[in-house]
Amino acid sequence: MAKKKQVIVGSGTAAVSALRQLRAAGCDDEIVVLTMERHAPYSPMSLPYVLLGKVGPQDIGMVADDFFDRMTAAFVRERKVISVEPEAHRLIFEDGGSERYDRLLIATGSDPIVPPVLGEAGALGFHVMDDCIALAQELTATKRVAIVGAGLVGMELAAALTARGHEVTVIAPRERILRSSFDEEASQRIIDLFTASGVRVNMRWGEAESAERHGAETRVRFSGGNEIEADVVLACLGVKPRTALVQGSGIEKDDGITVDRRMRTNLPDVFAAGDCAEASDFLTGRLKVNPILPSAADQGKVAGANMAGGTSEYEGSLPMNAFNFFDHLALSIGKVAAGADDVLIDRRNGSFARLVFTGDTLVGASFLDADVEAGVIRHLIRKRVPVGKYREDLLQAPREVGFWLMNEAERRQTASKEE
Amino acid sequence: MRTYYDTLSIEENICPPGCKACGEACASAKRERGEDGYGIRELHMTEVGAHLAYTCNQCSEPACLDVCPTGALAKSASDGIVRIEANKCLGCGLCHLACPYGGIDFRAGSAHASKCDLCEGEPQCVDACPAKAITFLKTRSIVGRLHKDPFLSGSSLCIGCPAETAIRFVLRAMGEDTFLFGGPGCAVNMFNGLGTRAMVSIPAHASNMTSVPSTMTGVKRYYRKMGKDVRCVAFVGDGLATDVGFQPLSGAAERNENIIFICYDNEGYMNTGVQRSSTSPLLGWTTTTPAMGRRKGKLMHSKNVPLIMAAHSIPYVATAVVSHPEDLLMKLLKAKAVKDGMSYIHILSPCILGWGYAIPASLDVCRTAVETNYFPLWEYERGQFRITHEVKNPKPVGLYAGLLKKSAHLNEEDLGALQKVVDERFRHLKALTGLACP
Repeated sequence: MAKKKQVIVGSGTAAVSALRQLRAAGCDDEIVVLTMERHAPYSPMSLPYVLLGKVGPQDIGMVADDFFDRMTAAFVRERKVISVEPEAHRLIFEDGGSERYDRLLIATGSDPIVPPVLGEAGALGFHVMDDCIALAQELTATKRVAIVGAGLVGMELAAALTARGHEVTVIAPRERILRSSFDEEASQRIIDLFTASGVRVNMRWGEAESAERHGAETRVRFSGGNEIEADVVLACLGVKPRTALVQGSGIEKDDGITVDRRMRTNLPDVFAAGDCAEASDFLTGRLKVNPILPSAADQGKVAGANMAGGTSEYEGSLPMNAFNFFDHLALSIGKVAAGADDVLIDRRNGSFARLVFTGDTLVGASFLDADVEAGVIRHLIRKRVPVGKYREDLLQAPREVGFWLMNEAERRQTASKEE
Repeated sequence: MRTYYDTLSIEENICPPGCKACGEACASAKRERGEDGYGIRELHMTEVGAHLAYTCNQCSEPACLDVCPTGALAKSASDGIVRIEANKCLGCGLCHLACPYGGIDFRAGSAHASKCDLCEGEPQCVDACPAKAITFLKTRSIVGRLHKDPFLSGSSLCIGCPAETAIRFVLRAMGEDTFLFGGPGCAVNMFNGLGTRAMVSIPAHASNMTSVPSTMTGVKRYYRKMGKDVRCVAFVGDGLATDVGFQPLSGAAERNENIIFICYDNEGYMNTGVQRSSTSPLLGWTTTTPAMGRRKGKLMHSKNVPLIMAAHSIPYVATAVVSHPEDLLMKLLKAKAVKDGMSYIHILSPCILGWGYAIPASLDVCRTAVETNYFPLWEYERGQFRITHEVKNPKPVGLYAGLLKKSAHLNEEDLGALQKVVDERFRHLKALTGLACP
């Protein structure tokens, strides 16, 4: 049988993970990886760290230089795909060229959300390396930074820029920061820690309504009636799936490109994975865009296995984040919102731990400066390990009890396998 | 071909409670190399008797690698170690969230994630552990260890006898530098071997029934004087331990000798014609407590020897069966770790010949003994009683008795009497476990 041609659009985490899995599964088809970037594969989540100078642009390469050779795959840079023609099994490039495929993986990632009002006044969002390098240069000469949005990236940047001597103001549209990861109490504790370290955090300012640039200065007015002036305005309002290329192709999308548990789109031979995809959520089973790196890695793996002819299924995305700021560490896994009955909170010794249960099983956990192995807690959630009568103990000593529960569960599993 | 790498092996539940030596040694070794964090950490949960250390497993398919945004984590093909390249590490913490085994250390203020790198071949935690719970296994020793059994295959014990399984288990758990002691009984044939052929590859000694603990005491004290840490392990039957040799045993426990005394309890003198012993159960048949006419087997209660041993306040006492091997192993390792006194383990060891059941049923009998609370699995550790295997819905003891010919003569009323004894004893034990030390 003639070899097939597998094409991967994108070169982020999902793409690389899919490529690895294709080869690991023994697929010897021709593989082409197309990217609009001029850089070797990197993860956009590294960019804030590049911006802050913690690592250099040369250090964030996700793979070794000889990776594509070892994978015997062609890596084509600066090749932006603008549309897909599924009947012809063909991709159309921005420069007018085209490429045929037998199987296609769309792993284009996501774009930062920059409201037009802000964008026109020169506010920056960044999700590609070149924007980031430009921004880094701009930042060296300026003092006042306004960060619009109080999500993880915004808050992390706020902390690090403050540490570097910038005057930082965070503008949160609503009453809470980091709302997808922390409840109100944890959010308030984090705000207090930021304020104590000299970051101004303005809550409930609403949306940006107008913005003008005067020379080096940008002035932004918000729907709540407040205004701010800054040298640099960063938009950190989250990301949206980069799905322009499937417009009009017949490939279904909602927020992102919708896929089943095997990462297949509605059309044969077309897969999607990573930030651009809307895949099933671990806790609800419903489709949801979950633009975090671990989900992209898992989805890429599943897509790769299935593109190689396997029948691998995705377990579902489980939100998780680690947030390091001013010598504090906040961790969040899984579900945040819950009724009071299902939540346990511990506030001893200045730390904070919050566990969310559904019946006997843990479905969410967040910690602030607690002694805990977060991966073990995540494992308890993922494997739905019954916590039973140890709920309160888990809250009091999450590291010890969490590890012990995991260990016992693993042991039971080994025992039942042997039987 | 499969590749084997050198690795750390950590024995669980032998760590001294509260000890943090491994983590501290690791952190200071890391500091000397200019790194921060931990590569191994201790874990103590007194409530459930868990005392252990955990570290990176150096997995063959590490979950941490998959989520690293910069490829700072890599597994070496030559030595199998998963390493973090510090100048590429963002300090994002995703690897810490991804590892299900607590192998990646990441804490408030960490600039980078940190993990075990086996100290590049000389893990500092190994020597730091006062309980010798951590060993660094070189590839060859891993393969060797998997196949090492101090007994030859085949034995003179009856086919299907669980005592043989138990003693093989005991010696594998006890490891090197172990001396084995016994006295007249079935198992001594394993020590002496058959004809001119020795059965066991470690020093073994068979004494009189009344002198096993004293002999062990002498050997142990001799080696202590010579400065060598050896383990003296007795593997003897209930006739020796609980009847004929009970006084010396109790004496050794009173003196709190550092010996490990294991009794395999087959509830009678099975080697010499199935006579009753002091652990033969109430109403049980033996050749000296027959069930004929109005006689219904043994008229007296059995002696609860493990409880008596616990009453000596020695560091460790436990009951065990081979049908619950993990439980047995945990207890053997705990006994092995005791360096300041005596440990006693009482293993229920059904006898095919003397109890009357089919050859393949030994494990069923053991299991049913536990599930009916006829033989509850518990331990006594430095003053604290704990049930190690809670039975959720105990079955009636009749189910256990029904498996055995030695109780075939029991009617409803007799079973009721037996059930009463089982319930009373279990209530007693439960009450003891409730007496938590502060």
